[in-house]
Amino acid sequence: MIESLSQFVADLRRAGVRVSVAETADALQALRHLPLARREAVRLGLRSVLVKEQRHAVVFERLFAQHFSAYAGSVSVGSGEESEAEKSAGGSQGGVGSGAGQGEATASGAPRPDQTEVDESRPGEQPSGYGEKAESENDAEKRGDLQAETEQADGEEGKDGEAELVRLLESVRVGLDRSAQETPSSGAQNQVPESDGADPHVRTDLRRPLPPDTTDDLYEAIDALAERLATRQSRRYRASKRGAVDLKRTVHSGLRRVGQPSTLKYRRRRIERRRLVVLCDISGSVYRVSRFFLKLVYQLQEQFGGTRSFVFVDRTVETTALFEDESFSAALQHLEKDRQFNLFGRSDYGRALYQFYTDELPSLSRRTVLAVLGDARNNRFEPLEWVLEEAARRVHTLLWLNPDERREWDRDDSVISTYAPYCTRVLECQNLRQLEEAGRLLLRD
Amino acid sequence: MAPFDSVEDLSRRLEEADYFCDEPSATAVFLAERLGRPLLVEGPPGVGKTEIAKTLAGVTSRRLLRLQCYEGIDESRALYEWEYSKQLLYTQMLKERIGGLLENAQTLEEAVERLDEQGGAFFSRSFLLPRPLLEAVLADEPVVLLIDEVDRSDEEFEAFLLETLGEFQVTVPELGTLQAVHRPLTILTSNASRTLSEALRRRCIYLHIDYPDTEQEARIVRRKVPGISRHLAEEAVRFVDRVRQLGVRKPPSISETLDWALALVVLNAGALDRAVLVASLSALLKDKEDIERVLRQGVR
Repeated sequence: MIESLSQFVADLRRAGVRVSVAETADALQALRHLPLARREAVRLGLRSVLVKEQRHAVVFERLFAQHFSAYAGSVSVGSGEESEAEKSAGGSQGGVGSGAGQGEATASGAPRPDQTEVDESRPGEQPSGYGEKAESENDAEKRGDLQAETEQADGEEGKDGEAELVRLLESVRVGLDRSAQETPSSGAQNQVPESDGADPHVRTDLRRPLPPDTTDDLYEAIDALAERLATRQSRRYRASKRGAVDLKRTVHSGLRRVGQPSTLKYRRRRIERRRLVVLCDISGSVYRVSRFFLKLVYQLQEQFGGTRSFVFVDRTVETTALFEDESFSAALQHLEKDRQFNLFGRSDYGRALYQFYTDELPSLSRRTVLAVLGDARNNRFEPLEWVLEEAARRVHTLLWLNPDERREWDRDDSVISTYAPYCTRVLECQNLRQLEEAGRLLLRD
Repeated sequence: MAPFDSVEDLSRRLEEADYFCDEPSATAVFLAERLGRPLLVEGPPGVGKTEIAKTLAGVTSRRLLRLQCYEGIDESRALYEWEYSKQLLYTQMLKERIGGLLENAQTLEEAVERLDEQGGAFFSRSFLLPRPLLEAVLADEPVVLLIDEVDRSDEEFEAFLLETLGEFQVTVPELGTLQAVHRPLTILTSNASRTLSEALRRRCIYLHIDYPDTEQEARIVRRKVPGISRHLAEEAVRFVDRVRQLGVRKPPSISETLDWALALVVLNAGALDRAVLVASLSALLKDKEDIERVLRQGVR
């Protein structure tokens, strides 16, 4: 059973649910307090300890069903094995199940018709999650083992109980290590594919043409992502020893002294919110990635003190107004159809950057975060990297997002390395996970 | 001594107190208590997150200490403050005594030393104004500590909470370190307006409460709104469900459903016809546009 738990946790981690060792220990502890004979109780108990974000619940349910499908619960299958296993379950939570008939009967005997959970078993139905087969000896043994172990641990007082727990923990840790090293082909359980079960599209390659359903899903995922990234600023001003008088803090500290402000508090300089400026290459396949980035930027607008967006191929056009006035999808439609955005021609980064720079120079300041999304494939035109150098000097952060795979950088006509020295960071940007990383960097102080 | 024997026991007692608790909720609360971990309850507004804490306090006969979080809340609002006015007052009243104490002091230094020896007098617990967290630490008997809407605070406050909820130990510089005798049953609620820090989430047992299904909601309505007929309750709940699916700007929560059901009873409504809706919808929907939309679309 402990092995099952270790494997279960390992699979959860592989699927993107980052369970810590402390939480695994909690899970073990929790199992000691739950009626192990009842699958439902175990499921809910483990879930409340291992799943700390609602979006992970789906993955948890799926993996739990896989790992504990042969876990026979309280069904009275009537086989000899069953009653033996029941016997070994001993006194803890006795009486659950065998006498009570249907799978979901609780220890108190009252059926629960108002289960709002999606149960694998409902009253009146043979619990399918348990499988029609009788509990295999192996599982009964496992369950019996854990029962026995936890009982033992329970029975021992104080230090002994702790030692027992430490031993259990150790075996969990060992089990986890082992599972981590196991190759995907081994293991009796169905292996979880290397995808983030929580967000199925996290690794979808955004550069490829995608069906509309997937695109919609991706946009939704980006909405959720933006929500996660959004933080809350608590103060608008920095406390300071000089500067303008901060009336609020002065009065507040005065309240503690019977309303007599004895000390003046000062404030200085608004905590600045950064301004975001994005430049997106909309040629060819890069456009497919740009639109998702633009969506993310659209959703994160409120985190910045001002957002401006530009698109380019061989020249640059501002799209700020477009995204301000319309809903995102409408704006995107315009972008794809309107003549002014119809930028044909071959990518010319140098020229586009130069135009952008000369037009926008006055608005680039220390508070600006500049993000460029493009593959830096310049068709052998002049890269004019000095423009980027100038821009980089003026802004706070310059982030370059490259949809190409790293190994393609500098191949053929990519001149990314020419631009790279002037950038704060250059990131690969092909899928949602990398987009999330980019978003995080944009928001970081 | 543990207040609950089992998940079922907890569930039953909550139901007896009119709080409908499904198994996931009961399991989470039970484990939080047994494992000595705080419980983080997340979900849309009005689904009963705060209620669960209140009801728990009731059924366990424990005092409920409530810390309401808001944007910009800081440590002192959660921990303690010194009652300065009282300190001043006492100093004034005891002026003569203090004078007497210092009478024979030859130097200023000596005087200060003598005062220092008595220093504890004005920074003792009689002048300490404990706020909910410190109250929980100082409590003589076990309490339920509710930290409400923790998502409205900021990350700094969360870090502070994390520290305190770990050991339940508070250091007041003038008094030393105070350790809780009884570990409070701590419940944090969040409307999920932002994601809480990972460290805090890991520390807690997690429970997500969502809008109930129609059957469940109907039961809640029938239990909490005494005069309502079974038929009307079911119709009302079905209506609310459709309103939620309509995607209104402020989807009604359970508390609003209850308010509306009560309004229907007060209006002596037999069925949900247009007249009744026009008269009562403002109890259910709090946004003008939403009301207009629902009336226009003739949600049935």
